[in-house]
Amino acid sequence: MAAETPSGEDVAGGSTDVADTGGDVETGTGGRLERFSSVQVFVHATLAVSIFVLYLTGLPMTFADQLGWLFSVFTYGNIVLIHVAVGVVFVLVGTYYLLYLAVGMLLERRSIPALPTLDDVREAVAYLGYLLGRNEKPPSKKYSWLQKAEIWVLAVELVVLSATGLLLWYRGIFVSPEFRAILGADAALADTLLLFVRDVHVVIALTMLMGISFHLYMVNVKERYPFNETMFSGDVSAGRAAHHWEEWADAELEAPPETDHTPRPSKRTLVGVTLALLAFFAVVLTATLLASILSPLPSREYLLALPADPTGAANVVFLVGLNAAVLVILAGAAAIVYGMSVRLRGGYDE
Amino acid sequence: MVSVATESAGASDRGALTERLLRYRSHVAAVLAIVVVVGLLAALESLSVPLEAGETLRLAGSAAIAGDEPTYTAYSGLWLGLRALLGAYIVFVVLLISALALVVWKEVLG
Repeated sequence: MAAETPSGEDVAGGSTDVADTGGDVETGTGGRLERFSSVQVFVHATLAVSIFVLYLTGLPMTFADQLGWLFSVFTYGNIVLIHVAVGVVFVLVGTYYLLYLAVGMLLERRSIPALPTLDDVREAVAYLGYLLGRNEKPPSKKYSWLQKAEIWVLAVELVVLSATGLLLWYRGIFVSPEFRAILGADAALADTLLLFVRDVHVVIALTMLMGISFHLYMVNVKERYPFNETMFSGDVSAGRAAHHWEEWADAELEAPPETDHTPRPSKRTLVGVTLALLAFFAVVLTATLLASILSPLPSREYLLALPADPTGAANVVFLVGLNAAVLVILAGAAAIVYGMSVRLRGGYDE
Repeated sequence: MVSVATESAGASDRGALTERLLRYRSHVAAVLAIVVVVGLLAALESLSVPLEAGETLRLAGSAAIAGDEPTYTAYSGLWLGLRALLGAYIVFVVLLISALALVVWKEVLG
């Protein structure tokens, strides 16, 4: 993990235009707090890599013209199989973690910190007041209201994606006599439902892609710039804990440190990264709206479907946006592999 | 007296079992996960029929959709409603996370 240094040179301390601070400096006093268990670290890494591979194999199935080169990487014949196999790994690991939590809650008869509570609503309201300059920033427990919102929105989206993905893979269900009988032998409705499922899968996947980008921004820009290793080391400096999650640090430490010098980006870097993120959102949103919301009905063949091929400016939007999405995915995957390789080599050990 | 001792022994056994289960919590969850997921996949497999066996073949269905056959636009209202909902959701999410990304500046630079 990052070296603990007693001084805070080159780190932000209230100035709005400070120099970028490198990745290895995280100052703070009072030792370190365990934030994530080994199980959480490995589950997060496995799910993240699975999700990234699912995007790399799923996006070209929907946007073959713009991302056809990915077919060359994975081979055309295998891309669906890889998508399905990794999807099963994802469902398996996700189910494992839910059961792991359930067994723990059942046996230890206690809740988990990520469950939303009324305090989170109060914290969100107080945060709004902070943004409006009416009060101080409210202290957070182990997870802030925004982190819980991220966790739960992503979790719900992942459940929807898993369910719709399984239905698309087992699409024979839609033509089974039993299913059709339930629908009153309405074959058109059964076929249309399959197309509904596909639309939901695509739109939620692309929405979640932006959610993941936002998550990466919050973790690596807001929380700790430029690379947050907490999800790999599993721990955090007491100073940073006191800065971001004050109530949690107070509960865990006898005497939490008052200050922390978490590395932050300079104003110029922050503007650049944020504008890039917003541009990315705009392009992915436009591509999604064109492909799956505004395209005419009925618009596509089953499964390996494409909307009417966009031309001109629309095609440029698709091409740039979707390939930028692939770059984000590759960067995320590389970060996970790097972080886990450091952990496995003992780089975060005391 | 005997009853108290028996209850105490029972509670102790339960405590030991709980402790043991907690120690092997990860293994228990792993085995259960495999059982649940394999069971789910097997159930879906049994419900699903080969596409060729369906009364309406997918190829025919695809051709009908591509050909704008009225059968497949019978539910276009419902379909448009779903798309409107999905569109509203993605636009809402993008606006929300864009706003949050911007307001984070206050925290980062503050």
